[in-house]
Parts: sequence; C-alpha cells; structure tokens
Amino acid sequence: MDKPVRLSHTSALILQTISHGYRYGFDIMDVTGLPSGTVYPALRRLERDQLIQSKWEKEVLAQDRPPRKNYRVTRLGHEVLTGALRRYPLLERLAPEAKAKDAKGARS
Amino acid sequence: MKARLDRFRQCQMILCAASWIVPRRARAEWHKEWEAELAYAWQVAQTSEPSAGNRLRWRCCGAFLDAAWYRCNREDLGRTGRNWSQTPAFLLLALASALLLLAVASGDLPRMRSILLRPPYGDPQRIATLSRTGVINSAEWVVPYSWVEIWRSEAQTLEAVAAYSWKPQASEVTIAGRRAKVASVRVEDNLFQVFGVKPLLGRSDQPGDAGRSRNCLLLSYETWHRRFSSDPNIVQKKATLDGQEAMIIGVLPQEFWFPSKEVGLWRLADRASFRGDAVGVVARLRPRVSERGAERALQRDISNVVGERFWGSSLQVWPVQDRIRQPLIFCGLALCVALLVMTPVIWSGRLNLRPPRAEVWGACRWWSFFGAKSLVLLLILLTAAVEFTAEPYVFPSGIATFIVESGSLWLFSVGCVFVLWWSLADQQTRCRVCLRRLALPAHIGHSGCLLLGWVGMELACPAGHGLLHVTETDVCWLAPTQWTRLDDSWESLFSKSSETVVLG
Repeated sequence: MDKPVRLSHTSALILQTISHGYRYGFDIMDVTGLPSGTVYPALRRLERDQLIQSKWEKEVLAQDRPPRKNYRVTRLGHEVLTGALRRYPLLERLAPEAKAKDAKGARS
Repeated sequence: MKARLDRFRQCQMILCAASWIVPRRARAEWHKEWEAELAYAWQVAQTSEPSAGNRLRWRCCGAFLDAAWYRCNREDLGRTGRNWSQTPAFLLLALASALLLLAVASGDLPRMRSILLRPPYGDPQRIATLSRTGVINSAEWVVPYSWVEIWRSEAQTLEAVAAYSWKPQASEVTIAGRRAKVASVRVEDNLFQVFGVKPLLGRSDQPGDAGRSRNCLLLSYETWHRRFSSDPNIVQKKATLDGQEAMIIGVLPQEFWFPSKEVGLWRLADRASFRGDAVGVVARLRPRVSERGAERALQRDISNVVGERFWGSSLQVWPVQDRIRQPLIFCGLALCVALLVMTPVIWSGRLNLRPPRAEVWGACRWWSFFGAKSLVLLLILLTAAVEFTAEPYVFPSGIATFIVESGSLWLFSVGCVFVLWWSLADQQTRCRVCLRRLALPAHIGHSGCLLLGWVGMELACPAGHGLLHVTETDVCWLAPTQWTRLDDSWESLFSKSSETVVLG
C-alpha cells in the first residue's frame, strides 16, 4: 500500500501556486516570495511524487529565448492539494490566482 | 549596458559552476531549464528596475541548492552508496577506519607502544630478570633472597642487582587527607639505579633510605597526576600506607612502569625484610656480557656457595626487552598456526582464487588487494588482542595474568583463522577484473538436471566483466567455482541497468 503524501506548508504553497496558473519556476518565486533554493528542490520533490508534471514549452512560443520548462498539477496533485488546503486553511489567501494574461500564457 | 551584460554573464557562470554538482546524466536538462529561466527573466528585467540584475544573480545562486538536491536525493544517494560499497576501495577504507577507531578507543595504543617501543629504562638491553626455569611448583619466576645476596657479593657478570616482592599488593595511601587505592610493590632501594631511571620529582636512589625509614614511597606519574592532582609539593609530604606512617620521596617519569603497568606505588624496603622470602630479581649486566655467559656464571656462584645443584632446572637470564615483547612472539606463532590450518583449504582448490592469468597487472592488483585486506584485518585483530587483553609486564602479577594471556592467545588464534577464511571467501566473490563484489545472485539448474549442467548459484559483476558459477553440490567432475569472462559486448547491458535515470 502506498504511503499517503503529506506536504509541508512550503510544498503546499508551491502546489497551490501552480494550480492557480503560475507554471514556471521564476514565476512561482515572484508570486510566493520564496528563494530559488527552496522553490526548485520543492518542484523536484513534487515531480518525483507525481503531484506535478513538467513539460517543455513549444519552440514557437519562445521568441528570441530558449524554451522554458513549465509545470502543471496532476490529478493526484489536485487530490493531495485538497487535503493540504484542509490542513492549511490560510493557504488560499497566500497564493493569488494568476491574471488572465499570465494564465493564458501559462496555459499555452 | 555593458555592466548589465556583465551581470548576465556572471549569472551564466554561476549556473555553469552549479551544473557540475548535478549528476552527469541529468546535467544537460537541468542546465537547459535554468538557462531558459535566466534568459526569460533577463528579457523581463530589461524593462524593469535596475536592481533586477542583482536579484537575478542572487536567484542563480539558489541553483547550487537545487543542484545539491539532484546530487543528494535519497534514490541517487542510495544507488551511489550501493555501488560504492561493492568497490575494493570501500572495503579497504572501512577496515582502515575500524583500525583508526580502535586506536582512538584505546587512547592512542598505549599497550602496543609499550611493547613495541624501547622500554623506558636506561640501556635496556643490559637489564634482565633472573629466574628459575624447569621448576614444577610455584617457585618458577622467583628465587630465594639469599641468592641475591650471594650475587651481590660474588657475581662478576652483574653491575647491580635488586630484589622486589613479586606480587603487587592492593594498598591504601593517604596524602594530605586525600586517599587512593593503588597496587604497590616492595622494592630494594637500588632498584631504580639498576633501571637507570631518574625521578621526575624528588629522588629515588639515595643509599640508606630504606634503612632510615621503612616506608619511603615513590609514586607513579599516573597516580600522582590522577589521584593527587599533580601536586608539585608532594615530595617530602607525610603519608600513611595501610595505616602505617610513610613519606613520599619522589614521583617517577610518565613512561616508567615496573613490573607491570598496574603498579602505582613503590615502597623502599629494608634488605633485612626480604630475608627468607622468594623474590623477583632484576639485574644490570656488565657491558659485553652475554645472557648465556651470565647464566652459567651465576649458576656457578650459587653452586659454589650454597651447594645448590640445578637438577632438571636452570637459571634464566632474560632481557626485559624480550620479556615485554613476548606477547607479540606468541601472536606470531598463533598466526603461523592459523596459516597452517588454512593451507589445506587453499591447496584443496575449493576456493577459486586464480586471477586472470593473461594480465600481469590484473594479477598484481588481485593479490595486492588480498594481501592488503588480510594485513589490515590481522592488524585490527592484533591491536584488539593487545590493547584490550594483554597487559605488558616484566613479571606477571598473578595467575589471572596467565589466564587472560592464554585466553587472549586462543582467541587470537581462532580470530586469525576466521579472518583469513573471511578474507579468502570475500576474495572469491569478487570480480576477477575490477575487484568489485559480485552481485545479482541467481539460482541456476535444478537437482534433476545435475548430470546435464550446473546446479548452483550464479553471481555477476555489476560492471559486466564476468560471471561466477558456484556449485551447490560437490561433484568430482565439476569445479566448485568457475569464473566466466564476458566480452565487451555485454558491457552496454550492464551499464544501462546500473544507470537507471531517475529525475526529480
């Protein structure tokens, strides 16, 4: 039987931020205010636990710069996030929804 | 603009440096992700505040933590640990660490140093104990005190001779209200002169000390330091020894010990008090007098004066240096016995220990590793046996010393056999090419197919150099173990399985 995934507050915040449409590492840092040395290892752990999935940006969208890697929350990630929000009720206020423009860019 | 570009270049250099921490298989993808984020952030920062460059540089420094996560995440660390534990370097390092740990735990190998280094006596090769051998009763090791008086007046081969009570006594000494229990021996006042030792504090060899006071005491450095807090004014202080008045006349140097290391106090005794006793004797031979020559001369002196005939027994002059090193000689003999026990096992061919014959370098490496591993294991065993059981002595302090010494010797002998056996067994299950421990055990064949093929275990080299077949049933037409060398075409298969990519 698999061990239930228990998220730390920081990991839950990052997962919540991704679910709100901020899908790039540096964007997550801007929104959460967390340093890169915290965000990236947390992303690695979340991906290892299959709570998020990474995907490379399409070349067409990346104008004059290399394509970025974006992250999206998996179904398991959403389930775990729901549990984490019950555990950390103030989390929703900490991670704002992405603006329409950002969200559009992120979805692409 | 140029400064801003420099900052961008600095960020790239930081990422480049951090990427070296990431395992090679994931490095390119990791670097690509960070470079892309940097490029994007740089584009955005060109239109925003000027301090963005510094913030970006700070963010790039976080890449080191990310890279460290890649390097040290549990799966990776576990796999690296498993691979590393199979290498010969790991085993040698582990054994060397165990030896080092043993040295630290014993407090810098005090007993080993006492045995191996030069004894803390002046001109030690001329100092010898005089005892009788071939005596069936307990009188061995000791002689009547009357003989000491004869040698003192008659012997031409001795420069000085002194007697001491052979058995240390548990005593209670009180100095300035501080009480301590120590092992003590009664000694003649010229004993320290025989040893050529000068005390650290006070005096030891003023003639007549023993006559004036029956209880002139000398403390060992250990007793003085630990029990009396290194009191610098301890000399000439009054003391009581087992309820009798006494006086401290000196403290001996730190290295000095006699007749064993447990003795912490020496009581100078009147010669008359030894009369009628059986005593231990220590003497300083004259220069250029051999032990055998001294033995004959001293035996002749006794025969001439008291008419003693040494039927079936003889007098023994034994240099203290050799007597102290006796445990090492016994250990050497025990090792020889262990090697004799192991020789039939090695010659029987039960263990397939042959390295690849064609490669001289491979064979050298193979046997060097076996030698180094066995040597360190034996050193660990010897150190443990000496440091935790054997007490160096010039004269045994009682029957317990013999029991402990014999017990430790037996344990050492058994330990030697065990260590050599383990070393051989370990060598057998190592790759003949890279010396890694063989892994991936698999049962092959079954009993019904015994006549058609192998029944046993197959082990593989993790790097794919070869396979070791080990039979489960001994049969005369099959070698107990057989090494099959795999050619280079297998290497890719093994390297793929051992380098499963785990990202994130």
